[in-house]
Amino acid sequence: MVVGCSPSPEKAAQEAKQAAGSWGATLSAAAEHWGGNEISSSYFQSVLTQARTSLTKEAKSARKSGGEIAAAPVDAVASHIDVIADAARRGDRVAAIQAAHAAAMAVPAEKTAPVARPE
Amino acid sequence: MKNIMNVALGIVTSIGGFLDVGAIATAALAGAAFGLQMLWVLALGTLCVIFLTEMAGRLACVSHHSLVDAVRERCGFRYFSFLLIGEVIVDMLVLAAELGGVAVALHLVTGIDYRWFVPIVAFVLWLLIWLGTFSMVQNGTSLLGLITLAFVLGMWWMGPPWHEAMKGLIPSAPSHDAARYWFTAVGIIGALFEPFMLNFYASGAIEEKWSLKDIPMNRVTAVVGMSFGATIAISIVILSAMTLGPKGIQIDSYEQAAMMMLQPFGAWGVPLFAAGLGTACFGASLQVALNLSYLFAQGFGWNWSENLKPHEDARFALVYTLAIPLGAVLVIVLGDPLQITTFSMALNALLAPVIVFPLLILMNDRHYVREYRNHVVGNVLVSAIVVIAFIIAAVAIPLEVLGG
Repeated sequence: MVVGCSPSPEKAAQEAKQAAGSWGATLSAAAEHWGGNEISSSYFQSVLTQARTSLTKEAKSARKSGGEIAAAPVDAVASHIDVIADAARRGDRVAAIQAAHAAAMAVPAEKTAPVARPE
Repeated sequence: MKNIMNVALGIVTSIGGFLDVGAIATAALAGAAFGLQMLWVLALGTLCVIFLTEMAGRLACVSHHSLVDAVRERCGFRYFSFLLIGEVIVDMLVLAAELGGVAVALHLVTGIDYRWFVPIVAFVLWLLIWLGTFSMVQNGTSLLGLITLAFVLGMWWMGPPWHEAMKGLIPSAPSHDAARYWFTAVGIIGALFEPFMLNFYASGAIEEKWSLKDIPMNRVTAVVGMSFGATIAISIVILSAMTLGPKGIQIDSYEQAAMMMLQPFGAWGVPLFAAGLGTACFGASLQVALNLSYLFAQGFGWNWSENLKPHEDARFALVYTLAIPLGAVLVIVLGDPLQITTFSMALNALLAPVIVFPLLILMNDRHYVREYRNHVVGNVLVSAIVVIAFIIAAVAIPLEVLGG
């Protein structure tokens, strides 16, 4: 029953792309905040760990339903996590931000329309 | 002056019941994924929960029955057994989600794996219920819960787009991802009228010996208190819509949700989010654990009161003593507190009719509420919202679970 109701390859690919884009944007924002000393190193590490866990899970699920093509965007973002983590371990904030931006650019996130501030 | 203090205390008390891990998580999810488009669900759910809370309190004031006690008496033991099974399953999942929420809050500020905190949180929770009185448990944690006002301050600092927020109050169809939109809608409604809250509220009214003269205070508490809780939830939707959605950040984890506070508060953002999440969840976990004890004790006619010593109502104490560690085990075994939260909130919407319709029957029964019966508006509005939420839940949950 579960197999019969698993998402179609197109849907799996779309969901994987969405998750990859969202995590890319998260990594980029988190690295910038870490670079600006607005978040602690332990919290930044937590974000990296969570990103790794979620993307691994997402890649597995995408691969199962949509094959390698569906999992490709997830792998593209995940491949940057180790580089960011290395930079974070060295305390190299500039390198971490650059690697996180690269992760975000690998799969552009689907953004909602900006909510305007009143004039 | 005493009345004003009572009302103020009632309002503060209701914050703890309204705002918990479910309200925080679903509001943040909705804002990040759909901007301000889902504010109408929050408004409709709040209206419904105001009616329901007022009814549960009025039932206690007039009949001196808690909700479960009256349902068992009016609908019979067979129906009560059905309610008991459903509520125990959902309450255990909600308890797991709340314990997970406190543990995740501690994880966010320390970086230590949340699972290490789960047993500690569970023990502190049990100790507080074991040693505390109802007033101490309720008022102490609710006052701490005022830290959640940080979400309102954050929204204010960001400059809320009131015009767009008003547009969000008008029901609208999803612009994308319909299955997720409706699953989130069900989660929001489930987080607002969690069945445990109604019986806990009525039991609390009996613990505090409310009577006919407390009916006006009950009304003020329901309207102002729940609206106040809704203001905080709306602030979370707006903050999330302004800070996360436009960057393309969807919420898969609490780490992502916490980032909504970085723009308004900078370095204080994550600690404030953690404090808000932790205190709201701790208050709610106290209520769920106590409600499980109320449920069994009232249903089976045991001694019950949080104001009694544990040896005076041993079976009441035994229920929360078993439930809390079991909830802790569930968080550790099931993992991913955010997923437990969203799923248990949707289940709340499925369970709601089982508790709400007997409440409506009781609130129209002269034997229980004499001349203080419901008006037709309350009956129709609550029935309509609960039926709609149930239908959406019955469709959206299988789609979300089986369709991935």
